[in-house]
Amino acid sequence: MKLTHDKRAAALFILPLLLTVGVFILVPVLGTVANSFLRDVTFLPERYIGLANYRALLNDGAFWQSLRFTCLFTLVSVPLELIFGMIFALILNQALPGRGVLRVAVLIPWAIPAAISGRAFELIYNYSYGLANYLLQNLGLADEPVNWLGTGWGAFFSLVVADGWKTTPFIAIILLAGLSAIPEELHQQARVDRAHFLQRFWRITLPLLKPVLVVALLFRTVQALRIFDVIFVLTGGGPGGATNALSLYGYQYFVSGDFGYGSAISVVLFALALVFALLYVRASRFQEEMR
Amino acid sequence: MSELWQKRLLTGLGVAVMLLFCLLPFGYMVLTSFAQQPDYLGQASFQFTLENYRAILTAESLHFLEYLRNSLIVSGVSATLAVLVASLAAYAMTRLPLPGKGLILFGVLAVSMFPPVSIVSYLFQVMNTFGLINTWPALIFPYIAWVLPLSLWILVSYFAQIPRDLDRAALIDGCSRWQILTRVVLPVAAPGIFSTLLLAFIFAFNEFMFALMLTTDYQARTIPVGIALFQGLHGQIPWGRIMAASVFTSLPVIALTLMFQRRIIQGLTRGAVKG
Amino acid sequence: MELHLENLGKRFTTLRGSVDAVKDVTLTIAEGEFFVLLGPSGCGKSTLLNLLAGLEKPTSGTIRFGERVVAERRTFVAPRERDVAMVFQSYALYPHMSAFGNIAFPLKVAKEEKEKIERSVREIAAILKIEDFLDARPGELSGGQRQRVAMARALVRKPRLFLLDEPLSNLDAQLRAETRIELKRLQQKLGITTVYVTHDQVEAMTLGQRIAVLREGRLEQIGDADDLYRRPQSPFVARFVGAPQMNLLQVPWKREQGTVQVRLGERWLELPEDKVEALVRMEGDVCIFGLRPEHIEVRTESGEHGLHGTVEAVEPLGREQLLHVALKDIRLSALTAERDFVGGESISLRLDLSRAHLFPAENAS
Repeated sequence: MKLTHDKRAAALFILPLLLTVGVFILVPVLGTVANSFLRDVTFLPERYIGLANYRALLNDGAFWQSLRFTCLFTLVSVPLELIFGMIFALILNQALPGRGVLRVAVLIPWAIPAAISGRAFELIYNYSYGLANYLLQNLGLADEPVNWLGTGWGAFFSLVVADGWKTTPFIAIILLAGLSAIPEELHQQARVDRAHFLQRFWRITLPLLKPVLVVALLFRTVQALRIFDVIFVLTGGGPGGATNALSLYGYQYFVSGDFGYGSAISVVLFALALVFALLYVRASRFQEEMR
Repeated sequence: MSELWQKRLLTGLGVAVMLLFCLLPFGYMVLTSFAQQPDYLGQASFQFTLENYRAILTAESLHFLEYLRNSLIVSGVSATLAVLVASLAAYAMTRLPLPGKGLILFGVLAVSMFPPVSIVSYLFQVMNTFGLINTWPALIFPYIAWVLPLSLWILVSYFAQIPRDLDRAALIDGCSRWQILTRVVLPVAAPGIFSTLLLAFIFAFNEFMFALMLTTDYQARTIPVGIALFQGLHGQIPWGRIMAASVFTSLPVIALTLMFQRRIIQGLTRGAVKG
Repeated sequence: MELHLENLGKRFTTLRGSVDAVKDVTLTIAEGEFFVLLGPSGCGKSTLLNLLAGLEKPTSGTIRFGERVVAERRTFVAPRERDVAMVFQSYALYPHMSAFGNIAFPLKVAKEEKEKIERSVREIAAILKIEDFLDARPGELSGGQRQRVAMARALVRKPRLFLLDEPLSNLDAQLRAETRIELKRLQQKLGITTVYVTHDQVEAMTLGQRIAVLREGRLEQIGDADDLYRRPQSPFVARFVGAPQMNLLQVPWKREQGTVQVRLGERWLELPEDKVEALVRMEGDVCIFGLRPEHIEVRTESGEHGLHGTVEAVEPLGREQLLHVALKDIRLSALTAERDFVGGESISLRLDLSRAHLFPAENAS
């Protein structure tokens, strides 16, 4: 029978996907949730302790600092990335000579692994011979070298820039796709109507790009919330826990063998990310339907 | 000043800033990798050397080539398998009667947004139980799952463009669903498959946290982790070598990006904002 | 192979509700027959073809190939076991294979021997005169060449049933006319039972031994070209078949002194006796009166029986002219080769009422 035949084929074809995602992502997530209710520390027997890990979180100053940093980082870095990504996209969308070369240049930061670019920025921010201080001093912007990674705010902005280096180009590419989907006639019409290019941007480009912007915003929000690689390499969470993102904080407990408490931290991050992930899925779905 | 000139000036300025922002750090990496001392900026004396590259390629204690090999194998295998699994699923999504297609597609999208930290600890425990820690499979399996959502989204959009009449013709010509996939859809979608493979590879290659937790040394450790944990012996960070390793590692990825710029951009935008 | 369709139905259920694409179709197609399914777009003809091919599963009814049931409530034979071949409107050639590869594909899937494949492909290529570009990819071929490759791919297996879904609609007019003749010759030569779907009535009339007119999933009428042209059983068929289109007017009718009359404009016209029967069974006092433009004679002088009118527009058709004539409150079109008329001219029309068609008044459409 063809129909059941096709149904069987459909089931067989979709099965590997569901199995892989289920076994290697969904099950571990559930496992993490389960672990968060355990006292699961190396060398001690596992024990169910209910919400004790979560109660401990409430009184854990380092946890609150970590949560605050994660949220602040997201709130600062994502809008900046979107603004610069938008500017890059607008430039890339111009009919410039060598446009292909520009696009490639923009893709380079995206292609380099974050851990590696993290190392490069570590050197850039080096107090005595890094590029950042060299440029600042030689351009006359500062007399004294800046201790980039040694102070809380310095580390914060160093991370924003290092993370932005990799993600801004990516946003630019996504927005560029949205830009090229805007019919050229609209711009021509506006030009005929003698609208200034800034007016054209505010009145035509931006409103039409809104769905793509919303998707990019939510997508980047989730990614910023779960940031790990750059911080691990660049500051290791320091100085003094000032940049200890939730991912890193959880990871530190796993490394020290405390799986229960680490899992509780991960579950909090998971819940936070899930809210935006679901919003993101909704926005993408909406966009899909618009097509 | 006329509007045209305003615009040209702004664009020119923007291009300059953009190029500087994107290329300066990489240029700095390259420069440092050829420098005898990393503090050449202050000294105004740059001494060119290939010693850093020689060191990472020959000094066995650094394990650079082993990290690279691990990365290439793990990323290559998992990208290939992920694209295979995603092709099957994308075919079912676009061609076959399947209940809850939207749920699967968007569910998978949501899954791709999960923070790795909420997955990795349990994976560690499981892999530990099976004695897989510090082996390639410990990374390959999670990586397949990790790059699947992106691959699925891109492939669904490619497959949706292939006319249904081809399937119908193949059905009439006597193909089974499996044969339609392997003999008609996959060959026709070959360019799309290729860009998906490329993106999946880059994503797997760049992954960090799983590799950090599920491997312990050069036998399975991947290059991003290798470089991140690259430390000097006497507190002095060997910047020249780190940058040489970084440049050497980035080159294949950058070369792929340069060669297939169009395909990569296409793939990225097709997967909407996935990944 | 004889084809039997019994009470065949196909319902598509979507989120917005269900649509009956094919409703209660019963018909038999004879061995070796060239059978045409004719109807406007959306009438279900393509769905019916897909049901025959096995690309769709019927929701009700039975399909039999000879004695063998291929689709029924609990039975369903997959397309590849039905031994059917199909040519698609889009041709659906595999873009990554050469013309040769495309034609050989069904044989390769059936795991035929290499030499046999080679021989069969050459043979069918010779018949369709496409030997010269067997190495080209579909993208390098013209529309006409692609069409031939698609036909070759379908015929290379010598199928028991040959299905064509608007195979000529992507060709230009001249090529279409040529291919039509060739197709008919080919079908007669090979003697394969053929079902051909089209919305083009000229194509249907020239190709089909019998034609089934479909409307909204239902069979409206089956017959040969002559039947459909001379004896349409509904205004739908009357309108759809024949060019230029038949005049169809909703008119009052009455019975008077043993005769039946219809009113056209301000004149009551008496109908020949053989038409009376059709009207006797009708209810109400209006009916649909149909008369083809070729059965209306155009005269310059006002004859006694003529209807007087004014030429509104003239469509030159080469040998003949199609006149759109306004009479009081109705419009008729008439075909004439008499002489060149011009717009605004006063003329009179003589209707050949023995060729008139009468249908019950429609409530809708």
